[in-house]
Amino acid sequence: MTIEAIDDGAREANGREARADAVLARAAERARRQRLEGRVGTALQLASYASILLLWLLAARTLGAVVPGPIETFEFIGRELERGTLLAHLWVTTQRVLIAFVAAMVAGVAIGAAMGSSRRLDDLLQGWLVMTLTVPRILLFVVAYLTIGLTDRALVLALVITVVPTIVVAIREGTRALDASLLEMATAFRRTRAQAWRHVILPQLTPFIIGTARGALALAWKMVVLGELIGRTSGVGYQISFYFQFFNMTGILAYGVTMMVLLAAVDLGVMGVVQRLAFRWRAPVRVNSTG
Amino acid sequence: MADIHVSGLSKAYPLARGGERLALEDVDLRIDSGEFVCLLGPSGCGKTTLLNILAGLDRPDAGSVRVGDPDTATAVTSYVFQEPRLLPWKSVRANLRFVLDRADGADERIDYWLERVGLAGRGNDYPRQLSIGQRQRVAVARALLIEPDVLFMDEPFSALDELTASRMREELLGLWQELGCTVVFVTHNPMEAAFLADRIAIMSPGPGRIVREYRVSEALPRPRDADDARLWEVSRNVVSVLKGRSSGQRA
Repeated sequence: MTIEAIDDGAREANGREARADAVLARAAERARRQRLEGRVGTALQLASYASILLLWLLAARTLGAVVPGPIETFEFIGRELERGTLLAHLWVTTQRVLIAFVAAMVAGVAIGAAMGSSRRLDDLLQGWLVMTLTVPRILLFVVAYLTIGLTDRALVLALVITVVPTIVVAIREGTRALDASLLEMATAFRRTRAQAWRHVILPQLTPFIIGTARGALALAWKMVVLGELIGRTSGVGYQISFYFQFFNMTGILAYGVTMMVLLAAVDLGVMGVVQRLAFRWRAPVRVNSTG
Repeated sequence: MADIHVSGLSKAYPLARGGERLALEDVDLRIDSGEFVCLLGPSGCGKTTLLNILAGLDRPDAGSVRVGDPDTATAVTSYVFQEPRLLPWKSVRANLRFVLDRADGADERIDYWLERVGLAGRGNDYPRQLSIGQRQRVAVARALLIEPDVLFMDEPFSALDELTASRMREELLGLWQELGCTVVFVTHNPMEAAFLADRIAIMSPGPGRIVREYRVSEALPRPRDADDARLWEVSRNVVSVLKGRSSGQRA
């Protein structure tokens, strides 16, 4: 090998390295741009919330006589907190929602899975599903109060009937979408029905269960206020009807905003964490509010 | 040990546009304990249907099937599908544990088999973190972990690149010779059948039946070399049987 040949070789190696560096630099640039995109996304989300606050401020300024501003409203919330009324009523409402939510989830998942896996059961319950899906919600509360009485039991029952059919529909879809090839695998390895349910079916239903749980909780949380407003003497809905009788818009907004903020916090916080934990095996998912 | 005895087996399926189609007609097949048999034929000849009936995943409409000891007709069977069919929400280790009945010693056995299929140390990975070839290796480990008497395989290497597939074929032969289990292997690839099988059962479609059995072990003693020219010869013979059948049908 001559000196020139070695020089040529070295030059070529240098050239290759430079080209590789350029390619790597381009990849780094892409990664940087992606990170920037993420930050822009966060900024836009913050702007979205800020615009609500801004509109509220503007509305309060122009319609000051009717619409109390955010500061007034939050001061009111502070006073209600100090008196203990807010927390007391909120706690009563939360209990009602949680009981209804848990009952509805248990019933809804069981009925939905049964309807999804049995054609006959699906046909048999079809009418009930359509009826409960289409009945006006307010009718449910009125009928429950008239037949059972103005009690918590009537309220919770009406809430359960409100929420169950949407859970049933989601879980039924999930059961129909089960991957038959994985079930076949479980059969080929002589797994029992219980093992197949626990390890093969339930994990496939989990996204449907979590998805519908977020929707169900949000629906129950919003409907409970209506139920309390019509027929209970405690809870956030009652407080809203109370302030309505005094034309106290600040009071109404205070309780309304509290409910909204809490729902958003629970939905994005608790449910988001649940979702992340349940899907560790997947690529990271983006959590968005469904409330 | 476990032999397989099939006689007069027929299976029909209803068609979506009405009517029925005979998927298998009057199939007779005997497989000795410890034998490696390939079911070879074009797509739609009912070879997977036959395999699924043997594996107990489907039921025959006529005829009899016995897998295992003649008296008790019981055997530990396992299955490697065309796709890995791993549970994506479970780690590799948990996927393997899923098919085990007893917990004691499970971890040692899982580690042993992971190492045997070349995936030592990947037990905590999720299937999506593995390549397709690696996932299929896990599926093979899952099938062998339960120490089967009979191993059913449905075109297990057809989705892999040829380099990976040929390496896995060689490894499969090694494991089979070590374990001594009976293997029923479905394929549409004559070269693959020639390399692997003791015997090739050649199937033809419409309705699916076994048209000829070809004993490879006489033409090609083991151990076999994937580059052996005689493989081509066996493959050519088998293909000529297949072609003869289809041209005979046209006439």
